[in-house]
Amino acid sequence: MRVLVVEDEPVIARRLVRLLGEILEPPGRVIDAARSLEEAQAVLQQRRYDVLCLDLNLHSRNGFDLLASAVAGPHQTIVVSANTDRALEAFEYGVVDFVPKPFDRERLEKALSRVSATGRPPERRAKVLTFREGNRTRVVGVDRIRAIHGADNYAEVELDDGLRLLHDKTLDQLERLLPERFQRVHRSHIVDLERIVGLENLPGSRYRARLDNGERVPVSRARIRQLRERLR
Amino acid sequence: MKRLFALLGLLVWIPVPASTWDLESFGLSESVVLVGDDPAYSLPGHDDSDWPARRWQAVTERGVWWLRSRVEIPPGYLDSAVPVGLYISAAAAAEVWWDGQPIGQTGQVGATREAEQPGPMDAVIAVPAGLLAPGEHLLAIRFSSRHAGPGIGTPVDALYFAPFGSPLRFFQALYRPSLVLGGALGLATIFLAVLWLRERKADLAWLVLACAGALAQLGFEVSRAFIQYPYPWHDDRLYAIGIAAAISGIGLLGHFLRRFELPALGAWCVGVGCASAALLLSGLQVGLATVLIIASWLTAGMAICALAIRRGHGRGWIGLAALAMMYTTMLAEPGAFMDRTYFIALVVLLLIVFTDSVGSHARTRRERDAARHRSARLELELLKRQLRPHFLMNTLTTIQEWLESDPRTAGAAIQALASEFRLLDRIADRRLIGLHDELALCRAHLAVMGYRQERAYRLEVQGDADLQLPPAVVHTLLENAITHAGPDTPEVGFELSIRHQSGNVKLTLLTPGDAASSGEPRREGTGLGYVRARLKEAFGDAATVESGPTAAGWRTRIEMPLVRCDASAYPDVDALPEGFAR
Repeated sequence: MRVLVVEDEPVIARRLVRLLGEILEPPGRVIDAARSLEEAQAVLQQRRYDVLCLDLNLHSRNGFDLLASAVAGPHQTIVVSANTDRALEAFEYGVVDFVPKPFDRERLEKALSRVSATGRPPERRAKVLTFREGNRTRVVGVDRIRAIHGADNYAEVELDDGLRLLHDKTLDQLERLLPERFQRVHRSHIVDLERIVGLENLPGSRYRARLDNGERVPVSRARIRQLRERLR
Repeated sequence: MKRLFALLGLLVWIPVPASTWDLESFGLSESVVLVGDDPAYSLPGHDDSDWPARRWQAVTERGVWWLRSRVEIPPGYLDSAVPVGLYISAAAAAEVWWDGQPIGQTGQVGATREAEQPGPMDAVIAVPAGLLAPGEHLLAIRFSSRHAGPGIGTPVDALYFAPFGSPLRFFQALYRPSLVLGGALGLATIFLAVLWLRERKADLAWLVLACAGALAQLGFEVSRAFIQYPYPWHDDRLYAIGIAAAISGIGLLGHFLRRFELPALGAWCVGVGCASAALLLSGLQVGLATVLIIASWLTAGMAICALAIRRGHGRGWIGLAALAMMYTTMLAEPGAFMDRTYFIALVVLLLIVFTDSVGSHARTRRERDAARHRSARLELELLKRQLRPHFLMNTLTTIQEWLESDPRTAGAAIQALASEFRLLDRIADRRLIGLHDELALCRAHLAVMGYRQERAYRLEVQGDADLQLPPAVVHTLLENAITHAGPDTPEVGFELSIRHQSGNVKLTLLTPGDAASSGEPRREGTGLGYVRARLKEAFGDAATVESGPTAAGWRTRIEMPLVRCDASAYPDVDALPEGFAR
């Protein structure tokens, strides 16, 4: 697992790096540290990380702007912050966990386990998705999302007005952030359950979900049962 | 306030029945007076045509003198059920003849002090029913006032021939309005005394004295309506009234002087006191002396109020107007002033001053409460700032890391944090602290931040540090400076310079970095707001703060009045724990 620590307090940064080194297994382990988000952006341009461990002073509007920009990246974000009272808002921006300071190794381990598919179930409380568009960050409410279609290293987010936006995260990563009503129906598709108006049986035990705009999205055989249950 | 003035207005309009009484009642205005003594003067047949034209009101002699008066009783006058009589109000013994027949006496008239026996001051001598008939009668009165004191100018106050019951009824009617107002004054006095006991404000104490003096004066005045006292006491009673008038006046002056924070209270009071004493001892008629005493403190009071107005006390107008109102009353009717209008005017004056004073104290109290509230808020703000998660949680996380990787450093960091909190706890509720305490607090904070940032923060102080300033002012500015980072150097130096300048002190704090070069302009954060509020709390508008970037870094300048450290009031804060570098 590749982790980038963003922390301006030197001792705390050292603590994060030390504890992450203890938690993560050596093969594939990369732990880097940056002193500011600005510094981190430069690093992020060159390497791809799985997790961003981010300390932000969330008591300013500026802090949340930075957070919005950080969560748009192709990584999961764990906020490590002293401002515990802002945890809920942070979750709504689509972070996988919020680690309040001070923290011990166990708490950090728990946060990391929310990133991987085999770990503990994520909170799934995002209310917005953020997209990087040049230097700006676009924030879109999840209510506007009809479906998300996967490509290799990015996802195509389809909005209710037909607009399609590219997101740097993979479908796996997005699935762990979006609320429960967003259901993975196929290796390459996530659909808002409330927008499914019917299921279609195709010859050869193939299935399709019909959405409210008439669009048809393939449903994989392995997931049809679960989808039927949830639609009932 | 408005309602109170309306109430005062009502009190003033209480009708004054006394004004319908006529002192020179019928018959007695046409009288003749002769100093000397002869039993024949009592007889109707005596020829008094050569007696001098002199009014009994003007007689000042103490020896024996006679008054003769022809009384015309009109038909139908005797239908009244009340016995007809002669009301005598005089500091004199008197014997009365009706058509040559003795009908009564008050005391025993005598040519010498030994021979005379004083009677009551106020008496009614009834005319026997059998001697009354419509038509002309001769009334003769023989007086002597050997026991009248020096303050009595003219012994005979009033002679009144009418259907009359009690000799006191006349004064009871005369003093009725004063009594009603006296009740209000009594209540106001009690209220003021209670207020004074609670507030302990000198101006209230003086106003209590003024009211108490006025009450005493009123008491002596109206005693005549309830006690039939021997006439030699009359003089003493008048002196008591004069002294009480002086006391109430001095109380009022003291009140104004304290109320408007004017100097020379002693001089004013002694001045009016001496003038009053001189007037009372001068041999003037006491009544006149009393009027002059009142005039003297009214004048002094108006001068004080005018002085207060000149010094910018707008409320001086209320006092001036009330005093002028009383002065006008006195000048408008000097003869009846003491007997009728004085008390009404005095009570109205006192109640106006009372209302204004109580209102002012309520205002002062509100302002004091607001100031206390502000101080409490500033204290809370300061303490809360140290509990802000960004500071506290980051510090704790740092200590947590030291605990696991380097316990010795963790211990030292905990000591530094404890020092900072201990110092904060000691100074947070103060208005001013010594600069050395402030510097100790700053150094404790810099030590904590040093452990957190792994940097050496240094605070250099230049100048005379013997001064006081509001708590945590420099501390707050340093906190601000550290939050706004600055260059990433292992050593960060702050410079505090202190310059004294004619009773003022100028503190300049220079913090590195964050100069004009840094991109985002720094806003005036809550930190500087706190500094401003604390300075205002301690010095009002006498202190100023300015803050801005310079080539060398960020500079904050505070100018405030110089207050030296008082070692006894502000004991040195304990030394920091051992091994802790200051």
